Amino acid sequence: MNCDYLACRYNSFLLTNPKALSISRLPLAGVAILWTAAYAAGLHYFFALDWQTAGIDSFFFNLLTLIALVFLNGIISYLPRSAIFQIVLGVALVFAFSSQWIAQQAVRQLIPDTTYHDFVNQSMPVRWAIGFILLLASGVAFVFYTRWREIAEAQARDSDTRLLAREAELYKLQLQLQPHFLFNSLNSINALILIKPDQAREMVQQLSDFLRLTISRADEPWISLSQELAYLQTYLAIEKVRFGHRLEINVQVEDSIKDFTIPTLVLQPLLENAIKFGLYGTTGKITIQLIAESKDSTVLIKITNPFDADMQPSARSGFGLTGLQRRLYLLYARNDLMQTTQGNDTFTVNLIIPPRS
Amino acid sequence: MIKAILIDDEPLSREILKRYLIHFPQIEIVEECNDGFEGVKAIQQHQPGIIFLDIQMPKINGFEMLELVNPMPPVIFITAFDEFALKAFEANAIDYLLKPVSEDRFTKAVQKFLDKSTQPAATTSLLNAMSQTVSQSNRIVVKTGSKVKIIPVHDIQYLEADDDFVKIVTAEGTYLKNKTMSFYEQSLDPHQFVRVHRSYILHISQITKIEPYQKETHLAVLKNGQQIPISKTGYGKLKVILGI
Repeated sequence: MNCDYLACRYNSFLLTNPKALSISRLPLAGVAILWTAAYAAGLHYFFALDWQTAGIDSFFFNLLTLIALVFLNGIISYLPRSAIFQIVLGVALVFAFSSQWIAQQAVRQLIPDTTYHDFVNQSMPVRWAIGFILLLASGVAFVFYTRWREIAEAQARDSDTRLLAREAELYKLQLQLQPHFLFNSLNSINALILIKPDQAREMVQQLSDFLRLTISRADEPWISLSQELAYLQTYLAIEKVRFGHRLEINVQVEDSIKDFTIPTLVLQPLLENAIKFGLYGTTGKITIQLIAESKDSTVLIKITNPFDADMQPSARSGFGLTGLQRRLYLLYARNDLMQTTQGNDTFTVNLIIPPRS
Repeated sequence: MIKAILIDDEPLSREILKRYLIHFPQIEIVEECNDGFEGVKAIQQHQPGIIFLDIQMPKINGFEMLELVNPMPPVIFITAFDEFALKAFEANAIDYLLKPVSEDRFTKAVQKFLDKSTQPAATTSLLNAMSQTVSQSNRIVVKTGSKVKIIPVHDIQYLEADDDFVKIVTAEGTYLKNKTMSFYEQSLDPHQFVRVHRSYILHISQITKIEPYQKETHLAVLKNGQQIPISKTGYGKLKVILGI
């Protein structure tokens, strides 16, 4: 079925997109190295420091700035969003002062030259200013970058959801057309016309009801449980004509939840699957059970069909459960709503339907 | 009198065929079957002159059922809509009827059979074509005595040529199937099953090690300790698939 295709598409989206959204760290390292070199050159040409002193000075001051910068950007994601710019300003100030001060202590230890010490002491306000500007600019840029990334991610998710919805639409259409079901029903009607004309007329009516309901609910994403059950009843009536000699269906629904809203096309495919696997996976009489009951604010639905553990399903059958799982995730953003259990001779699907948000 | 068997899991579908067949007094319906298992038994018992066979049926489908009967009787297929099956039918010019079955079309098909134009040979080539168009089939249906056994392909350890048969070896036992090695070489998943030798097709997950044997040949040691010869070309294929 196509649902595997859907899941596939979604997985490939997850795999490719984080890469698309992250930025490479390599250019940043290049910029840092160039900046350090320019800083050293500035010290050499404008303040007449020798190359070695200028190099050590530039290396330490900028290394500390860089460390402060990494720290700042690291904590940004944890800062409260409401006053982020004020906080970034404050943190940049503190980080700039402390990082430059540490660098100052370091270079004073490394270079014993007292004229150089005087130069460093005098230059500190400028260093603080440079550090502060760098930290503030990068912090602000990072805040904006994070925001942009979030928006891009949301957009990607949104367009993917739309893509999935469109594909679900196609899948839905496919479900509705059900050529097998239609042709087989027509074949039964054909036989009934010869054998039991009254029943033939009844079945034409049932098939029409089923088709009418299928078309009318095509655009309705939500439906009340009682409406869905009425729809299933028309479907089951037709299956009973075809397989009445083998098929028993037991539906138990609590009265209190008849008005509960459920997504369309969740119950019907499950029931259809249960019937198909019950009928084609075993020989002899089968009973399909559908139980719906309320639990807290949710509705629990349990569909059970007989199942033969020795049977290896042929390749082209297979539960379309992955597709339903995706559908439920799109509707409720939860992955734990559907569980299947396989007993020795029964297969059960347990479905939790939360209230519509 | 020509003996006929109807095999379809829907009683109404059989009913209509019975009505249509009233107009052919020379054809007698000896049995009606609800599924392929009943079908195999009934065919064995009656050796019918013709069978009317549905494709989608419980447990084993119509094609799988046909693989189990020998000799194969002439078949008229009755099916709802199935694009794969239709393609195979058209390619093999065998008679098939689409549901809902019209009396006119049915009469023509039976007439054609009575004129002896439906040959079992065409059915055989249809079965081969079917198993290849639907080659993703993940099971093989075999008959042991009067019992039908469904073998999931992942349970197969290896296949061995045995005269006109293929021996299918699983942990549970060995089964014979009236097919050729090249048929299985083509229809089984080539990523899992490799023809390592003229007489052997090996499930690669069963291999624990490969040892050099005589000049240019090797031996595969299976999980159960058994050794399977690998030819030079077979070794080449294995190397590609196992990436060695």
